[in-house]
Amino acid sequence: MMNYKVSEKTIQELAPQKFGWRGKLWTGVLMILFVSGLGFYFLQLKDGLVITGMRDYTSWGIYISNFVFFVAISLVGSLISAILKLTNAKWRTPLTRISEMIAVSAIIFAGIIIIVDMGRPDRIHHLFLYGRLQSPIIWDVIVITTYIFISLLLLYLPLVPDLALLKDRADLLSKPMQKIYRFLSINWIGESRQRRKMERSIAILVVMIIPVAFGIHTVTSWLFATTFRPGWDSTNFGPYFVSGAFMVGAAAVILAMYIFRKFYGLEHYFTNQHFDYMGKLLVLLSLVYLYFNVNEYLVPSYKMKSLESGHLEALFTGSYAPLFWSVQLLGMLVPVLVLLFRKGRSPLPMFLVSLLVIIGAWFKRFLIVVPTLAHPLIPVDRAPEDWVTYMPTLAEWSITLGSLAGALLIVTFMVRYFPIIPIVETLEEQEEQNAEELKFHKPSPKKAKV
Amino acid sequence: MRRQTKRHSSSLCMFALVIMLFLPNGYLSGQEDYSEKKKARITLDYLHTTSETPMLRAIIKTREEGIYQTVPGVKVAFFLDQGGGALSLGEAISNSRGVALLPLTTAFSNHSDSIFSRHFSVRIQGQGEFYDADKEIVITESQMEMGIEVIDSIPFVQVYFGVPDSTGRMVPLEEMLINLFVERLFGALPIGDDYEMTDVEGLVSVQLPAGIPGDVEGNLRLIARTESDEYGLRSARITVPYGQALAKGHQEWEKATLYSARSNVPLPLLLTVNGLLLGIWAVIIYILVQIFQIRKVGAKSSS
Repeated sequence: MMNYKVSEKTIQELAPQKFGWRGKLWTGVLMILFVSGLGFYFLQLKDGLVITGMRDYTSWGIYISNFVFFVAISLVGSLISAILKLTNAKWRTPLTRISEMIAVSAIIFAGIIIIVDMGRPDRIHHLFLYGRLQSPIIWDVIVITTYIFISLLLLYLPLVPDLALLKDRADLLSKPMQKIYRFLSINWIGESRQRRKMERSIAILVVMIIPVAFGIHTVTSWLFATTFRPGWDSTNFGPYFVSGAFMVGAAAVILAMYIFRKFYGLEHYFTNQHFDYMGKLLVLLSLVYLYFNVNEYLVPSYKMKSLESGHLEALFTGSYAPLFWSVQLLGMLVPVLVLLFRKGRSPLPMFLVSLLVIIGAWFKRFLIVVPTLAHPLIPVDRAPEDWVTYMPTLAEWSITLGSLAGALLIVTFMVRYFPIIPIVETLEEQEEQNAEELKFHKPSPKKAKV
Repeated sequence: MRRQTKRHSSSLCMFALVIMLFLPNGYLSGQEDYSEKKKARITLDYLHTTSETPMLRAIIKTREEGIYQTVPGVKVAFFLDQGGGALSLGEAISNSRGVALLPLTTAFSNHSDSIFSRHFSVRIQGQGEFYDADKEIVITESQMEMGIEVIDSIPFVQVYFGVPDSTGRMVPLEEMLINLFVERLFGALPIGDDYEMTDVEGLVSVQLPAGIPGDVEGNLRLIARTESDEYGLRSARITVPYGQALAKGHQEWEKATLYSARSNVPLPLLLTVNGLLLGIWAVIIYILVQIFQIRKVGAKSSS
């Protein structure tokens, strides 16, 4: 039997809550950034990509860096919901919903930012009508579309029991929200046939999302690796991208955990133990990514082929060196060093380290995309200055920040209107725990006699 | 409730205001500002490739920031001027490169039986952004034929150029500059001298160099061109089997690689990708069906 007092308290704690002034301020700032990005995008539509800093050399700038970043972040859904589920890590329960929300918002904006990068977005349907199946760009379009659907399903299906639980709670939900909950809860009453179907569907999804998630980022890496360019011409790019994606995804979940724990008072759900586990996971993922980084830079720099030398020198000692070394040290090495210590895996240091990892990850994508393009195979003789150096314009920064704000807005609105932590799953786990505790404390018949 | 609605509407107003602030000038005004009209510069050409429909080509440019730039989206009216007035041939709108093309089909051929010099004109009228402008050209009909003559197993490209005499009979034209080319993937390869002139018989004869790579059967597409104010841009094309055939290996290369054209997608790739897609999407559809079934089960149990 479910302990009503415990479950009611849990429901009250985990039901979506109205924003306080900090939540409203946060949403307002995001809205301003998003709308300003939208304004600059209108300008770009009117005047063309000439308002960006992209020219004949660097034709992929911060839009594509941002796209790769979004795709990377979106992999967190498969890491927390699928991989940890399949490894039977029960502590993952409070993290699944957040990770799926982050995954859905990131993959939606990955799709949007790629359209922003197009010179003629009105011709986007040509991709489907005239696309070449041999082109990695088409593979990316296909796999991103598929991943959006699977992520949405993986967010939605485990949400259904929570929607059904809250749909009639006028004390927790407004009337319009109750209506939406009723519609989305698809008549869920927890009947055994419903449960069987639901469990089967989720089990299929968590298995299927793993290859699709690997596919999405591997194909994104192939957009670069299938070209013969210094810095991109690598057979290592698939795993290099996937490992980096898991690392930044884990950092994004830690960041979200810290923020929601602090502002929603969810210390009982996002415990220090959760931070400890996530910290250890982040160390592991950072070390794997560090290993791929060593592979990616050590071997080409050992050989220093003339083709690669300009690119590598620009990264190691040239104009990109401060950014490159900052990203390598602050975005990868420092997190490992901090998180190896137990105190480093407490909430605040974890929050700061995750912030470093995420900022580092964004600039890492910039360093993957831009310096290579600045060193073409056949440089143009007497190329204009603005071709050789790439500096993002105000419009590009604003649109990029707008897209990041847009992705955060999706998460913010989902958090505002849906439970951040799976309520029913948490209640069931509490019930199981109570039952086990009862079993443990129940005196044996022999002892009772005594 | 009313206070809430009021708050919503004021937030909407703020949102609309912010959007308007970021929109470029004139975006919301609904009409463009034509207070400063520009001068349009028109170039008119007559294009005729033998055995193809002749065309009139107008290129629209305007001077902006000190340089001439092509203007897209301008409606251009084409006319055939006759003694009794102007016959409208049709209209065309300039494309992204500022080019408006009009094929000379029925309207033109109905009036082409007896006149050998034609007076064409184009006009831009009432375009708002531009002052009215026009341009005229006078074109004399001409005849251009192209063929191959093999002398001692060596192929020679021969081009004949003729114009009408006072009676309207075609006669050879001497000293007409003709340029000859072999069509290549990204342009045209010139053959012969820079200045190949027609002789008294109106002929130019140029030896076709041996060993020019053709298609898989060794076919080459040859082009002859001439340009003059009097006869316009005249050209003729023929396909001849005197090129070097591509090796079979190259043919396979075209078909099999991932770099080749859309129509040449390798079969294994086609099957693998579509198979994977079908498999994954079949599972997604299966899960959607499960969702409907969950809904159905719930509805039945509730009732």
